[in-house]
Amino acid sequence: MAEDDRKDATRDAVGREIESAMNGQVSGLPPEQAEALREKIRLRVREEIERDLRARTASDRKDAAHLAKEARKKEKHGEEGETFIRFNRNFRFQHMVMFSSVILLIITGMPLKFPNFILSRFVINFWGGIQYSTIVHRIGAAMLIYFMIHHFLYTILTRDGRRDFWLLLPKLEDAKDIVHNIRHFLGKLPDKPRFGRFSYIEKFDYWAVYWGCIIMIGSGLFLWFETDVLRFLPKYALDVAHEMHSDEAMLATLAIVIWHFYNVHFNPDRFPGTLLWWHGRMSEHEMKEEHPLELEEIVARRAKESAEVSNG
Amino acid sequence: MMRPFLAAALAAAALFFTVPAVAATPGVGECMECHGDKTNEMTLPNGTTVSLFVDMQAYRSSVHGGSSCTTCHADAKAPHEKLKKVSCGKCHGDAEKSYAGSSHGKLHAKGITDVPGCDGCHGRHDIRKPKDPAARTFRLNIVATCLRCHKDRAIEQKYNLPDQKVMAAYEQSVHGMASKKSGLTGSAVCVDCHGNHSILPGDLPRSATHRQNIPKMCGKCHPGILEQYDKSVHGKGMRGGIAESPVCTDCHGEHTIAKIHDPSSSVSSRNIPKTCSGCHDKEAISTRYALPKKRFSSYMDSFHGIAVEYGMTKAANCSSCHGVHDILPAADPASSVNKANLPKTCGKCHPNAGPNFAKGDVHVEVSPKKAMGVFAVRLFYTIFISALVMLFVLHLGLELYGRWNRRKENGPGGKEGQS
Repeated sequence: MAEDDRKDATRDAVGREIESAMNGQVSGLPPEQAEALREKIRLRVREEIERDLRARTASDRKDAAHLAKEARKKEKHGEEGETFIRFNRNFRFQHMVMFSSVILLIITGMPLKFPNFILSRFVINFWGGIQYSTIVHRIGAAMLIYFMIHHFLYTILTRDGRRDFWLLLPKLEDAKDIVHNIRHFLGKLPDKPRFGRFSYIEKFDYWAVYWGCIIMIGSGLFLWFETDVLRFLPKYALDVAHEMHSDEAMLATLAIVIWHFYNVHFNPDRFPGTLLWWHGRMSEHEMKEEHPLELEEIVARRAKESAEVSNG
Repeated sequence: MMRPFLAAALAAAALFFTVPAVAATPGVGECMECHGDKTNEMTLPNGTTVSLFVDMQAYRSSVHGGSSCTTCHADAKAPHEKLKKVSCGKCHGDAEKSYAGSSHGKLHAKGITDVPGCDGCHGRHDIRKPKDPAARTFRLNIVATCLRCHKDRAIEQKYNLPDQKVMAAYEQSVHGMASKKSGLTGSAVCVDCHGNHSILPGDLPRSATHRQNIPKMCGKCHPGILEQYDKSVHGKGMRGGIAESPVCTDCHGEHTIAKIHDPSSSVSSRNIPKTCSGCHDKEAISTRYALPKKRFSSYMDSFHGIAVEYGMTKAANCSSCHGVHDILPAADPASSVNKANLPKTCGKCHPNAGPNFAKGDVHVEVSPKKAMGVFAVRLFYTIFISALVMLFVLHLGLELYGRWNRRKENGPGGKEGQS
């Protein structure tokens, strides 16, 4: 209603302005001609104004809808407060390369370990037969090797990488946290352990990947370049590499499917998963829940920084 | 040698059609006065009607076309009564002798009427040379000639013969296709393996298809292969009278023989592990001849076995390493799987294969004695994986238990999952 009134008022004001401007133009012409010209100009200007108004209201509506959505979001997650960047873009990219390669490796590798499993033949035929699925496996392997090198350089060369590496090293606190957490599960302690940037669960995930990558890439390269390897090592060494590759694959798959998937996807807090791997953001609420010590550190650092700034 | 009904027909014809007797030995023209009539027929005592017509044209173009009727029907007069049976053995003595010893001949001698006499396969007045493409015994026509009886269910059951599927399989086999589809006369037809006049069942030692005679029989057309086979461990075993030692048909099949590239062949890349392990996976055989065990399972666990199972024909199967007709035990210095020869054998597929290929077993048997390294790794991982999985499950089980408990305390919709 209010919008319509405002629209009408604007239109009237513009109409009056046009009338007065036109009166100057048409003076001196015969009355019929003057009236016809006036009518023509009036129509043309109206058209122009209407179009402008239409465009403006459409964009207004869009803005209003966006604001309303934001407000609703704020209302719903009121307690979440600030958003923190948990994983930077580089780290997220590494994770994506890794999980794509691991998925490729598992689906092209497991049918070789379980040729009698009912889906195995389907999966191999999906790639066009074993001649091609083994090529896909090597593409996955190349991606994983790339990831390993990328992560190694990231750990050495970037500040975030170095910091995370130190924070990921297992400490005595982790053992205490495990005991604490189990007692909490059993109802002996009311509160969860207070984790820093990385809980023992995440540290386990990280080092499992480290261990897995070293074994899988090492033994996998043996199998990939078997003829070259056999120039220097006897065949039974290759057999051992083959066995390690096969068994470690099983271990890695189970670790991912049970441990990682539960803690990240199927955990009732997270179900059916989180987009953290995509946007890297974590809400203040989640930080308080899962990484309270890190949150405290951030708050303390900020207070110190702002104090320094105000002092300086 | 004629079927009795024919004999009876002629006898009856002699009774009914009385032509004035002129000479003791009638010429062909005189015979044809009666037998040239297409409508000339007679009814047997059991009610069936038999034609007495003899196609003069067919007879003239037959191998015996130059002779007169009385060459075979020596007792024929005009008019005549029941004639004696024609004896082909008068001229074809060798054939008659070997026929008499055959399964067909023995039954025929007993007066059984549904086994073929000479005419059953060769025809009567229209007999042609086997080289003549119109002959029933021409190589490309033989299958049809034999199948006239051997496709008959009643005959199969009566004489306990193999099912007609066995015969049908021949037509799809490499030999059947070569003769039927490609029209090659060099391909094996029934008589090449089973013999012609002297045909006998395979369980008799005199039979061409008896186990002991099979390599020699196949070697008639495949002499190069026979030479290789004779030197192989299987050939030596067969000659030494070892019953389990395979002959050609044990691996290739009989009526079902197919090209190795045909996926249905028992010696195709995909099927050969199963074919070989038909004997080599048998406890009794590997124990009796002190052969290494678990050859099949250890092969199927290897990448070669898995790749073959998934249809990669390029991957090594049994014969890629052990050879085909020339298989020798690994202890033989000439064997392709002798340790000294392994680098060369592996090098067929793995260029630049060196002596390290021979250091370690190809068929890896995971046991502390045979492959300690692999065994240790497998043991370690079995324990490690089981322990870790148990810990994972314990941890997440406890977590869910804790959540469930707190949920119960706080009530549904309470602060579940939060401390």
